Amino acid sequence: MHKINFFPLGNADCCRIDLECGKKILFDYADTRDIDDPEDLRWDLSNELQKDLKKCDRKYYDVVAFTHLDKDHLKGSSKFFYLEHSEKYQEENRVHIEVMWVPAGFITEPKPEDEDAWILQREARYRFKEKKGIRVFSRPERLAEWCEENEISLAERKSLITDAGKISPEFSIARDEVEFFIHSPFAMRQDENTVEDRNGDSIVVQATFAVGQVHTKALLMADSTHEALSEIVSVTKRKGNDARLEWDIVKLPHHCSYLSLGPEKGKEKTEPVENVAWLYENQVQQGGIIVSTSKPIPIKGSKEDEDPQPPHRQASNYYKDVLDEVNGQFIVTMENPSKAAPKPLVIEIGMDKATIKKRVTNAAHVAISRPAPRAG
Amino acid sequence: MQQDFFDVPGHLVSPSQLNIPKARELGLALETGRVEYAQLIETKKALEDREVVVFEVGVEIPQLMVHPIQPRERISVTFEVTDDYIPKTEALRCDFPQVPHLNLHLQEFPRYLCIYADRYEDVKRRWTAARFVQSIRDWLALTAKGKLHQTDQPLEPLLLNFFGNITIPCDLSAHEETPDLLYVTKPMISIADDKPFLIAHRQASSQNALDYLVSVHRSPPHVHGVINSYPTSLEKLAIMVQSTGLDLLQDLRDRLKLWHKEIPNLQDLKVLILILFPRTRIKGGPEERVDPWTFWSEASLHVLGSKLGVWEKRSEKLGLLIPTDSTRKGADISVGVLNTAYELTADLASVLNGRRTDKKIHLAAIGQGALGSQVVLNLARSCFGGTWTLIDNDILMPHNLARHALFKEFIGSPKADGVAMLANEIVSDFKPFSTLRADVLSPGNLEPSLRDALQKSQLILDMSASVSVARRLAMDIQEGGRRVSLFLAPTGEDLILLAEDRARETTLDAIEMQYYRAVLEDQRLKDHLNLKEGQQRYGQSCRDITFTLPHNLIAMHAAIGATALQNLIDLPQASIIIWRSDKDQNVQCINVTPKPVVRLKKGDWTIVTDESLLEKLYSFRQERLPNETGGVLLGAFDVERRHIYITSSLLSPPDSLELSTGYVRGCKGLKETLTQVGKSTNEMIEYIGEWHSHPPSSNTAPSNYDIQLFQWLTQTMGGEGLPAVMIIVGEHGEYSIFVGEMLEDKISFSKEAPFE
Repeated sequence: MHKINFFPLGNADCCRIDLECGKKILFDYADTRDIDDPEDLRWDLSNELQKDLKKCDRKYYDVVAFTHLDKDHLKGSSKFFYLEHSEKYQEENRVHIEVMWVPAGFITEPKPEDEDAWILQREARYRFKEKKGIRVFSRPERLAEWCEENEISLAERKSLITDAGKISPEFSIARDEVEFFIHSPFAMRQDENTVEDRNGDSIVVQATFAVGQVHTKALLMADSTHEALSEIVSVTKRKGNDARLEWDIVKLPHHCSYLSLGPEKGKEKTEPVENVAWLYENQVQQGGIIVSTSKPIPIKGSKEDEDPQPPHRQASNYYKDVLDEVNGQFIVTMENPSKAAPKPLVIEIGMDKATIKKRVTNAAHVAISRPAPRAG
Repeated sequence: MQQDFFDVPGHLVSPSQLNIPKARELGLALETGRVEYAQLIETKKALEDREVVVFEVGVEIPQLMVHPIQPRERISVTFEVTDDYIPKTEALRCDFPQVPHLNLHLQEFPRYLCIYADRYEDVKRRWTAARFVQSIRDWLALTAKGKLHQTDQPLEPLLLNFFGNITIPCDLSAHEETPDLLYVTKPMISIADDKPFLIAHRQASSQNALDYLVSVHRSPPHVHGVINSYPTSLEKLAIMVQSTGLDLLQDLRDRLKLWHKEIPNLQDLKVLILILFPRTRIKGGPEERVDPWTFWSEASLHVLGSKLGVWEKRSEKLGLLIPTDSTRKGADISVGVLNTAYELTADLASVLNGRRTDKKIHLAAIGQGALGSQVVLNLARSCFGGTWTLIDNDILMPHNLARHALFKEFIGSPKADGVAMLANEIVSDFKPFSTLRADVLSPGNLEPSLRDALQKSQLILDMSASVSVARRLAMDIQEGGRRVSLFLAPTGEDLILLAEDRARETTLDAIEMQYYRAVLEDQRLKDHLNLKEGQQRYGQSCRDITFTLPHNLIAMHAAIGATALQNLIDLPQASIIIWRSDKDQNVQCINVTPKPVVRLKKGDWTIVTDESLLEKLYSFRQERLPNETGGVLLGAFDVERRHIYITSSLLSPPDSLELSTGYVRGCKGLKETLTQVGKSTNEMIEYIGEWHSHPPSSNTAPSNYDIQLFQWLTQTMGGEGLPAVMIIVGEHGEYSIFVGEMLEDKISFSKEAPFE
């Protein structure tokens, strides 16, 4: 039984994958909760992850993937992880990263403004220079430039680089009952940008989980825009790799933004561009699950409904319609199981594919899980 | 996807307007959002003060499901003021699937979920709104995964209210076995219930005692359940089963015409309708199960014929209608559903006892007394083993009833016959018990039958409580497989199991001796064979049970013994197991590991001992080196079979002389010790001879002193007509055994060759 865990973090991402073989993988880490605000419903991510590691008697993740350098994907990382490049980040209780996964842009971008991003970039560059504990996805020409500027050899680092269209070598179905097919970033983009485009160059993977002969497929799609998704669909179809875009589980790009579907928000429902429509409507499997790592979907006519920032109600309506056809489920991390008290979302993957856990903790369990309030 | 839901009758009220406490609790809990994964839809008041709460629940479903449950399901729960039955819980989705664990009611929809397997009285103590919702969510989740359903349960809805019960022959499901007619006779014992309990037989035992006729029908195989609501009339039943291709009314009419001719004197008997529904997993697939449904009606044979248009009453006589009036379809014949059960089969009895189907063997059980009868009946419940021959020649006497498995009705009949009769009455498809009324010790002209019965037995179970029977089985009869003795200690508080190994290398007589040694040497067996104060020894054999002994002790040990025998079947090795119970009913199980047997032929005597004893003598020698040592040998004689068993030895008495050149065995305390040995083993173990060691660098050949000693020993033992036994233990575990006998006033003795 594998497990995929999402956490209520507002519009921010962290997905922990617990493999049956015991390995643990993190996709992004954004500890967004304001610990000084008791009303903040967002989850205490660092505490939750530490608890889980302690339970498993571990101090590391086998892989931590940072899909791109945006704050909502790495907030607080420099406080949580043990970083190799500086003793400042090496206190006892920090969590180690065996292999760091980053897109090439993570290394080649100019110095980011955000401090966590800047520290993580230095970590990635350090590991890349040291030639260990890192995997970089694609964009070899950018990397070539950067290596030249930094007077290091790209050729010596070829084994650290994996192109789109390949399986990342850290995992295999035979050994770990999982594989990660890399969809993005590509080696070349059709509309090659002159500036760095984080969302277009972020890591998008299809994870295939095997339990016996049963395969369950999850698309983890960072913050991809509809343009980026269209391109992924075009390339994948051109290569005859349609199955690599089949999905049982989708981690929606960009917190349910309409821009990940099409250019127009629409009044009630966003119309996706053709390739994106194909991705959702044709590639969904029976009982599919879509996870929006976001705030609650705004109620029609509310103040939030006017907010240009995601999540967008119109986009969610499109996804819900797709899922209704397949007895599927649409889950918003800040609404699960209720807006008033969101909890981590656990998806179990077994012989009967994915199951969203809907366990109710009984009163006694709740009572004994923490110290009782003081008695007089 | 727009869902269609059934409407719930009643008028809308707010949850706080509900009056039935549980309805109100549920409504308010849902309204305040206190129940996770559940949202209130509406609350209503309906007819007869019923109150209804409608809500949606989130269900934990996998992508791949056995039954198509949706991630959200709409549920209505109807509460009654009386609160005497589990609140009626229905799934409101119009296309909610036919799944296991539905209740049968008058309409098929909305589906009526059977939420609790327990009685409502047991549920009530722990019922809260939140837990109730959780039970519904669990029911849905397990149904989605196909895990709610136990494999032996029919897929049809459960009968909530049924008219009565009926049992039918267990072999009815096989196609070629289906008769048209079964007979229900008056039950032997009256049933103190307002619901009838009927037992259907293939044969009518006597027409006078007949209660009902059962018309048996068989539908073509199908995948889905057919009876999804209560049919209220014969016509409705016929319509319900039509989908399978069964034309019930036509079949009934044809049979009525036939029976009318064949069995005219049965016209006043009521007719039950039994329909067998063969089920396949997929269309056209093999039949996996046959679900039986029986319907009761008030109609007698001739009323049924009239109401189905087969005949008419004309001046006190029935006149056949030609053609049949097919407009009469039985709309005015009301039917009730009978809870239908197959009789118990051997396979199911095994399963219900938690046993896999054992490899079938033949067993012989000797001795059908208090213990034997109860052990056999315990094992018969699970159809353990296979076929059995019960061997006993005792007749049941009145005083036996205090502790025997049989009843007063059996007084005067052979115990074996009585036990076999009861044991064969448990399952319906198998009569595994036969009997042989023979005395194993003196079978007379039954000797060939006895040997035949034993010959085919892979396991011979001796529960005769007789050492002689055990010895005869072990030594005089070669036929058959391993022997197992099961008996009680004289107090009845301890149970003993002695089992040969499967290859019969360690025979029952040798195991018996090792058991006595354990009684002497193992502290856990202290006082095991002693009598309780005031108890009288009854007979010579230690296995005879004294006259006062509580039945409960025997029943307890019969249960333990039956379990031990079931476990023993899988183990190839020999065993000695003693269960000791105390006054607080604690039972301690003591396992004694049997040692490899050493068997030596000495003239016409056979010496039986084991490696453990020889090792022990050697270790005594080593301790005393460089001096010699020795002592007394304990064991038993079987003069009849010319066997000497050497089981144990006593420590060298304190007044012995242990020299480097010789040994003189003292006698201080020996008499007391030997008396105690006799008492502890119920006189089964006694003095049989002497042993001593030889110093280093000398062999185990007798010295002159030894020859004199041996002569003395032979003369002494010869006085009682017994042989003398002497063992000399030397270096490297070498020993010699000498057996001497007074033969016509001459002493003869033979020496065993040195043995490494």
